[in-house]
Amino acid sequence: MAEPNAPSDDPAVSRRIGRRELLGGALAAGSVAVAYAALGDRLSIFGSSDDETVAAEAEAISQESVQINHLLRRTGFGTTREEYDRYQAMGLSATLDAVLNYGGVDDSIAEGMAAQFTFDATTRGLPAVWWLVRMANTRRPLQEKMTLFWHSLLTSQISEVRDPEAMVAQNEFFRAHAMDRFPDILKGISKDPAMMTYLDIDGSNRRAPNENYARELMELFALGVGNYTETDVREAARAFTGWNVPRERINPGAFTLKEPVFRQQAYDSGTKTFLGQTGNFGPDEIVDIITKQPASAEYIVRRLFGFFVFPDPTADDLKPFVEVYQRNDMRIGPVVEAMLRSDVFYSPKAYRAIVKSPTEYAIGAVKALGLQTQLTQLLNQQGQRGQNASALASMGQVLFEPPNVAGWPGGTSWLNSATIFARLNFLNGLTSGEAASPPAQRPNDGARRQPPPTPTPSTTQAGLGTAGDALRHYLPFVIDDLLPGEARQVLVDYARGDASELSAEQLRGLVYLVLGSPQFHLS
Amino acid sequence: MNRRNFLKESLALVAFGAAVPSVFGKAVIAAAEESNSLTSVGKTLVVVQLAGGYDGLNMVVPYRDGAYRSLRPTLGIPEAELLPLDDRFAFNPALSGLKGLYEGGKLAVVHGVGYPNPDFSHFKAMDIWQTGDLDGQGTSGWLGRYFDELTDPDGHPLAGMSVGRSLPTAFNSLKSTVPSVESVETFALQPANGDSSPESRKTSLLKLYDAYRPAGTSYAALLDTTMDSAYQSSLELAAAHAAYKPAAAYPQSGLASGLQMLAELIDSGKDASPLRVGHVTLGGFDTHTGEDTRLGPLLTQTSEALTAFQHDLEAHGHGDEVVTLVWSEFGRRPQENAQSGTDHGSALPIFVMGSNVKGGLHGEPPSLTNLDNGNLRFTTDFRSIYATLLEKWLQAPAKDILGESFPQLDLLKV
Repeated sequence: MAEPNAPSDDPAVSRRIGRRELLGGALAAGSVAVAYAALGDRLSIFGSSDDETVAAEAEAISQESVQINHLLRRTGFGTTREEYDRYQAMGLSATLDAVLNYGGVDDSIAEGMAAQFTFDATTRGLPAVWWLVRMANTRRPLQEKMTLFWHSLLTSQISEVRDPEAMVAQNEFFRAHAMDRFPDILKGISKDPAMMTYLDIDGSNRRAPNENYARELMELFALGVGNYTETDVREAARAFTGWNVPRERINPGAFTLKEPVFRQQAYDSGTKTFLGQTGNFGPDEIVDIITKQPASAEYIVRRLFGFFVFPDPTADDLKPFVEVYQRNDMRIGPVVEAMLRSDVFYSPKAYRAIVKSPTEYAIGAVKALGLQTQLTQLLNQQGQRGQNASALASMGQVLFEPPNVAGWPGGTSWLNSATIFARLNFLNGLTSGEAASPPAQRPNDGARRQPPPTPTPSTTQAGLGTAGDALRHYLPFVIDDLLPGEARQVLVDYARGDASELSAEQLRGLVYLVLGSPQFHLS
Repeated sequence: MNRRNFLKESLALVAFGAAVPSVFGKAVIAAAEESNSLTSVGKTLVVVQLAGGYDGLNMVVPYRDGAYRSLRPTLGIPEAELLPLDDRFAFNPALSGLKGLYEGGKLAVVHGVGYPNPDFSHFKAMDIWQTGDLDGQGTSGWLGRYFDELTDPDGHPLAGMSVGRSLPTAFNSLKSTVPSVESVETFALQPANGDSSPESRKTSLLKLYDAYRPAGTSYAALLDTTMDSAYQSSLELAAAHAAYKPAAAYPQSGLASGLQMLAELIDSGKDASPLRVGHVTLGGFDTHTGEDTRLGPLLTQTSEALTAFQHDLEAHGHGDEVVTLVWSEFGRRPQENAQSGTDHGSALPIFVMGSNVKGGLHGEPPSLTNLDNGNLRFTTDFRSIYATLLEKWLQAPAKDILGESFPQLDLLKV
């Protein structure tokens, strides 16, 4: 990168001074995240407009090729090189149509891979593997991304539900109804056995209504604090009484959940006064009353905006999408579509504005290396070594096991000194062809005997003979071909020259560095 | 913009923030001229969670209480085997190490710790203990909120450290992030298998983070500083690990190696321990069945690990600087069940260890005859213990962190 303020700002000089000395040896990794979370937008004022890199990054999102990558990161888990080539050839408009209208896309390959998994009450780690395999291989990335959105919002923890099949069924519900009317999704999840167990609808009766679900429904799922009273919580809780989720005990720690059973005598059929309305409300009426609140519309649109566009939107940012939501009978699909087609989605403020979750990071890397069909096998390798530690857990995200009912806090909290090592060491495992720390817990027993995958990438791959070739192959789809000149030089120096023949080891090192670069943490 | 200006300006921006966030760098603190900084230099709290709900009644045994014998016809421990503390209470024979610390005045036992309307679910009860919110609805942890309040003039990235894979709820915070470190080996940039030039790859990687400094994005400096201090602290931790000579024989166990890791970190600071709060967990105390054979080994493991840790700290001159809290999410029901086990209960004795601890028995032992639905009635709110450790040991505003005031206990010499 050129240094416009040279000579006194010569980067070599500043490196010699050393940041540790500059900052009194006091930069705190874990806590920097704190500062940035607190700072929010103010950071955008640092840096001067004459900076070459600034200009490059700000302008990048105006290029159609970058817009396509940006869209595919936000609506999925990044791409393989082959997918990149295909979508780039289609252009943004056709890519948008393909991403959004996923219902018509044949996803039988991913479905076939997913169908090979069987679950029972003793394999709590398996649903995460099943879902990762699905995410990595799907041709309907937005459907999986929306499933992740709902899983992160309408949370349940497998450690409390203790029935993998019930958790998978909940996940399939999210998948099938990802773009439906918000009230319908809430009504469905209110009758989902895993959710009913997780938030104690199960067993709640009129004599002592359990307030857990009613509270979270308003506080975290659909309305937000400050928009209801404690009386509303108690009244809503009365409407969710009367249900039992029968359990079949498999062993001391595991259950199979059966179909919920309604018992009229345990149901509080009395009149409830809830959010200013009075009537003999049941669960569906409670959901309808909640979702008709203006605060509910803003709440769900805010959650979607933060997931797809950029964090911490203002009410003005949300307004057009709240209108879309209300005009479309509270359907989620039109809101997502409006966001993905909006100018703000392709604005500099949205570009690289989201820290990837561990799931996005891991699947993105797996796809970049073209290893997605071998994912189960990579996980099995780990199982053969008896390693229980999961790279995704070390990165801070175990699917089906959010830390609590509020879900993963996300954003800058994904990054601290331990999780950044977990991310890079995961890449090391992938690029070494030696899944030292692959991304999930339990392997599927069925595939244990298969040979380990070939070390990736390989110099025998077409056109990866030199550093220049490899960078031309990876940079465009991994980090939008947007690398400061100084960083490019680092990569070339590592490979001992742009045109020199790469050894297999150098190629793997180079690809580790490309994937390990700071930009790849960002979506 | 070059690196220097980039970091300078981003740090200056931090200083403009309304409040300087926790555990932040010296340069930042200086720039912000923060006046009410919490420091607690030279004081470390180590929290040991014994998960699953331990059977306090068979750990601190009311051995001459007739009710104990009738509630525990088969699991009751014969008097001859017990390690008496006084004429009422005795330690489980597996706690011989802790008995030694008790006799040395370095171990406090607080009887009957709990809270109103106890929850009997592991998860809910753990949430209650770790968040301090009795409704079990809290999302931030009491130690996370401590770090939110902390302004650390040393700005060490390992001011808080949890040993293990996932972060305990106690550290949850909206603002601060405490790393979970599984081992010295994983807390490092691992080399590729058979890489003939691992240093070259590593230095190239660090340069990439160094070189990414666009303006207009909130994250570049975050990534750069996270990477830089993660790398620096991994070197420090590895160096501390390599140089460290334990002065006590740690047993072979996860708990012991976790405590040893914390001891290494405590000892790694040039002037004072960089660690303010460390956390280690040992599970397996959910003894519904076969408690007669299962509890002893768990207690031996716990006692040996804690004893080695304390001796090691003392030998390295840190005995006065560390207080260790040992807790579980609930005790177990006084009446044993039909499977030589005990079910989920409520109040339990908790342990506070350290040279600065006022050793002995504290608090009022719960009655074994006046039970609440078969369970012990608590006599000391667990949040009183937190308040004492926060206020007197860590010198933090306990009321702000816990949301209300709790009576302080006379547990510490400071």
